[in-house]
Parts: sequence; structure tokens; C-alpha cells
Amino acid sequence: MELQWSYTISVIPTLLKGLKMTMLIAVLGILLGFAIGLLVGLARSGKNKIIYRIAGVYVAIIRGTPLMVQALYLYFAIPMMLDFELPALSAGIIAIGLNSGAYISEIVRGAIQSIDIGQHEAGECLGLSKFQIMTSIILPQALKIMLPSLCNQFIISVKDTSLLTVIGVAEMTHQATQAVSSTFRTVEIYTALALMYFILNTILSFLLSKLERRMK
Amino acid sequence: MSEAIVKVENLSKAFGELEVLRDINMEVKEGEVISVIGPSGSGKSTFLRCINLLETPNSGTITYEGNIVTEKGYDRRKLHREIGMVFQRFNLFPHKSVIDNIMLAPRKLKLGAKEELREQAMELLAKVGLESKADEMPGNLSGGQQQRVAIARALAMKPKVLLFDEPTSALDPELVGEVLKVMQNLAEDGMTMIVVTHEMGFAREVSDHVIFMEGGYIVEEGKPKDVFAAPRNERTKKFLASVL
Ligand SMILES: Nc1ncnc2c1ncn2[C@@H]1O[C@H](COP(=O)(O)OP(=O)(O)OP(=O)(O)O)[C@@H](O)[C@H]1O
Ligand SMILES: [Mg+2]
Repeated sequence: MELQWSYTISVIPTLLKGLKMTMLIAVLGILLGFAIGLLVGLARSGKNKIIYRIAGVYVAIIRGTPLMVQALYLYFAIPMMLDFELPALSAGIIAIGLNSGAYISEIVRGAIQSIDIGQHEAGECLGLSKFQIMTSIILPQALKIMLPSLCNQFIISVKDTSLLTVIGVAEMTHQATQAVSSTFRTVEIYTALALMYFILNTILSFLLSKLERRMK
Repeated sequence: MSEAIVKVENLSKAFGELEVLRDINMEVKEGEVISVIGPSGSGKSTFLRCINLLETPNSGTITYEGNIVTEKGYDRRKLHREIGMVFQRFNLFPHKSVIDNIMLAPRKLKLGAKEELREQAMELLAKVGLESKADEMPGNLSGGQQQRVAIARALAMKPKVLLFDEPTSALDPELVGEVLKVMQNLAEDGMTMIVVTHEMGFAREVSDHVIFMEGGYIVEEGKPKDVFAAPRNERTKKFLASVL
């Protein structure tokens, strides 16, 4: 079969539609993941044994199973067991959130633990509450340390959204696969898809590294 | 003589098997300056940290203004608001400017309006000779300047007692003097202070009372002129000979 590279160009509008969805899921997913990661990371840095264990189980489950399986489970298995419907988009965002949340919680924990204990003691000796010490002394410093890893996790999550094609979310990979099945232009279209991801992540990396530099 | 503001009775502290403080007794009266000296590892820091409950004693009692702070249910934060601490490594907040370091706790604890607290912070900076550094970040200051900011930060809480844990040990020798000078001024203003120090000059000239610790015990204590001029204990003699 002869390759017709014009398909690589003509599929781009379709892919751009998917790109919007990809970015929507990635951004909302990472925001959810950050919220989860912060809470779980704090739980993993605190003294409460029970909360620590529960948080640990969550991290272990997420790290021990593939994202694709997590998405399938969230979209098909859990709604079936509990008898409710979850739209694919929501399932996708939650899957990315839960998944990145586990990794972010480790980033948060590491950053918090890297802050000198003297910072905590100084706050304590000034009569501040645990909450005040955390929010105005520890977290602002930890956040700076976390930033590069958080940016990295965001890029990973953007790429991870392609796995959500298995639950039928109309993100970029899904759009590409649909286009392939109607045109059979496998090489041309998947080439376009790969290029799109590559360009997207190159731009994101550039923007994020600029952000990092500004925060220094 | 007035009542003691801080009183330590039969204080013992161990980290696991390691006994660090053994049956410590002492008291501090208002306006008194006490120096704690002794070799490395003798338990000086631990002693200081027990007083403001950064470490939990294994036994014994600590009384502050007549209240037993080592009892369950005592409000630790009240103690921390009234007993300030200055650390060997300053522990300034690196993400906050000098003035914000000083204002952070008073702001969070709502001790006054913002402008009022700023004014007060500027006065404290003047007191430690660093008005011009108000908007600097701590990382841009010398060690001596950082420690003076740390002292101003502690003073912003208007503490009744200040604890110093080797405040000049992390400093280059030429910067020690400026910090000691600030501490001496505080002492002259009547601040109640407990100072762990290797600066024998300060202990001798500024303090009212000297405690020599070794192996977790108070081996000798008394007026500085007695302890320095005529130590009674062999170990005190040996220690003084090694540092003087
Ligand atoms: N958190 C801790 N856990 C275990 N051991 C500790 C802890 N803190 C202090 N120690 C030990 O307790 C002993 C006394 O320590 P401390 O810091 O009170 O001595 P110090 O007199 O202040 O010494 P230096 O002059 O070196 O500061 C040391 O042997 C030290 O290793
Ligand atoms: Mg010490």
C-alpha cells in the first residue's frame, strides 16, 4: 500500500478536537491529583498511625496496578457493583486524579521531610499552631522544592490520558484510532498522533521550565 | 527574694537507653541571667529544650509562673508564647523577608493591627541594629545579622523568658561580638535569660549565675566569679582549663 502523507495533514483538525479533551482531562485530573496528593502526603508525614496506614494502602494499590486497569475498574466495575452510571469523561478525570495523586503524595511527603526540623521548632517556639506552622512555614518552602517534580508529573499525566481510550473518552488517541478505522491510513494518522504528543509535550516542558525559573 | 519564674525539679530525660539528664534542679528568678556551660554532649541543649517542652521529660517537674507545665493538659502554646527561643542555627524562615520573619507569629496570633506590628518590628530591628535590612531575605545576611534577626523575632512575642542555645557557635569569630552585645543589652534591660554558651567571657561578665553540666548532671553552680575563679569540683576545673 502506498503511503499518502496528505492524510497526516488532513487528520489534524480531528486530532485537535481530541487534544482539547486530552488537555481538559489532564488539567482537571492533575488538579484533583494535587488535592489528593497534598492530603495523602500530609497524612503520610503526620503522626497518626491509622491515617498513615490508610494512606499507605492507597499509594500501594495505585502504584501496584496499571493506570489502564484502574480506568477500566473505575468506569466499568465500580459502577456495576454499586449500580450507578459514571460518564466516561468523569471516570477519566478521576482515574488521572487518583493515579497522579498517589505519585504526588510521595512528592509532597519527600518535600515536607526535606524541610529542616528547625523550621518546625522555630514556629512552635513562637506559639504557632501545627496548622499555622504547616501552612505558613513548611508548605510554602516544600512547594518550591516540589515544583519540578510536579511539572514532571503533569507531563506524565498528559501522556497517560492516551490510555483512557480504552474507556472511550474522546481524547486525542481515541480520535486517531477512530480516524484509522474509517480510513485505514494507519501509518499516516498514527504518525500525526505521535507528532502531536511530541510537540505538545515539548511546548509544555518549555512553559513549565519557564515557570520554574520564575519561581526561583 | 522574688518567686522563681521557672523552676526545674528532679528533671530526668533519656533517649531510649541513653540517659541525658539526671535529676536536674534549678530555678530562675525574674530578670536573672543564667549561663549553662559544659562539654559537648553533656545535655545542655536537651535541658534547654525540656524547659519549653520541645523535649518531653521522663520524670520531674517544670514550673512556670507557679503552674506545672509538665502536667498533662497544660497549654503548650501558652508556654511557647511566653518563653522564646534562639537557636544555634538561627532557623529563620528563608522564604520570608527579615521584617516578615519578625511579624509572622504576631500576625498569625493576631497580637495587633498590621501597621502597629510593623512599627513594633521596626523598633525591634533598630534594637538589634538592622533597620536597614528590613526588606532583605535572610539568605543575604551574614550569620551574625541572621542571629540578630532571630533574636528580634523572638522578642516580637514579648516573651518573659528567653532561651538561647549556643547562639554564637555557628558564627565566624568576627561576628560573635555583635550578637553577644545584643544579648548583653537585653540582659541590662532586665530580660530573664537562660543561655547555653561556650563564650566564657559572656558567662563570666553578663550572667548572674553559672551552671556547669557534665554527663547529664549539674556538677557545679554558683556566682560566675566563684565558679570561674575558684571552682570546687575537679571536673569543673578541668573543663575551665580546657576552654579558657
Ligand atoms: N533526639 C535525640 N535522640 C537521641 N539522642 C539524642 C537526641 N538529642 C540529643 N541526644 C543525645 O543526648 C546527649 C546530649 O545531647 P545535647 O545535645 O543535650 O548535648 P549538649 O550539651 O547540648 O552538646 P553540644 O555542646 O554538642 O551541643 C548526646 O549524647 C546526644 O547525642
Ligand atoms: Mg547543644
